[in-house]
Amino acid sequence: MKLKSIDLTKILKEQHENKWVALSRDYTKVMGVNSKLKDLKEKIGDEDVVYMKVPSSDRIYAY
Amino acid sequence: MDWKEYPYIGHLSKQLSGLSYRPLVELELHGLTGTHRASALIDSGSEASMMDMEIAEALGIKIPEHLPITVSGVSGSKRGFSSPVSFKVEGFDDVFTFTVIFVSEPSFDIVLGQQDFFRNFDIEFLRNEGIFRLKRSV
Repeated sequence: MKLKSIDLTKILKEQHENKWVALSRDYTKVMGVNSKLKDLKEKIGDEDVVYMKVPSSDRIYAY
Repeated sequence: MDWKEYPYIGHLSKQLSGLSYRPLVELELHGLTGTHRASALIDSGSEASMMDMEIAEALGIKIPEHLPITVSGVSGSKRGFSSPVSFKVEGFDDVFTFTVIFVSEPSFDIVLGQQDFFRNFDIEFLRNEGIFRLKRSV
């Protein structure tokens, strides 16, 4: 069965881990990256993006 | 009301065969400083909804010096504070106001938990199809 899920490993690499990123709304481009969300938002301004903090690939998360 | 369908989002995971897929939904958060669009993890194991303190700062929410709330998980405990946050969920017109607990550097930057999110939405996790579905609960 073909999965409908989105694979962010095409655009998010190890250098993005534990940092804030601004992604395009279609999740195909990284529009900005910074260790501080406030600084990233100042840089991005009014662009239509989705913010997320990229989790570390070294950990298994149990919430 | 119809179900809305969303894709699972895959991140790099060295521990789990290269990829870890998670049910992430977009939120449009409304703050004193404007709107902030962000992805949020839907987590049936979390009692409350939580966010990173940097998001409080981005929304113009004042961070108190004294952090009165303790949040416990498998990796230990953290201190935090609660504040109401208004937001829309991608695909829905309603504006919700939930009490969110803000902590410093949580495992995931936004977690939607049982207390508010699961009371307002019915959720179907169809992990093997790569999708999940949301519907407003009656």
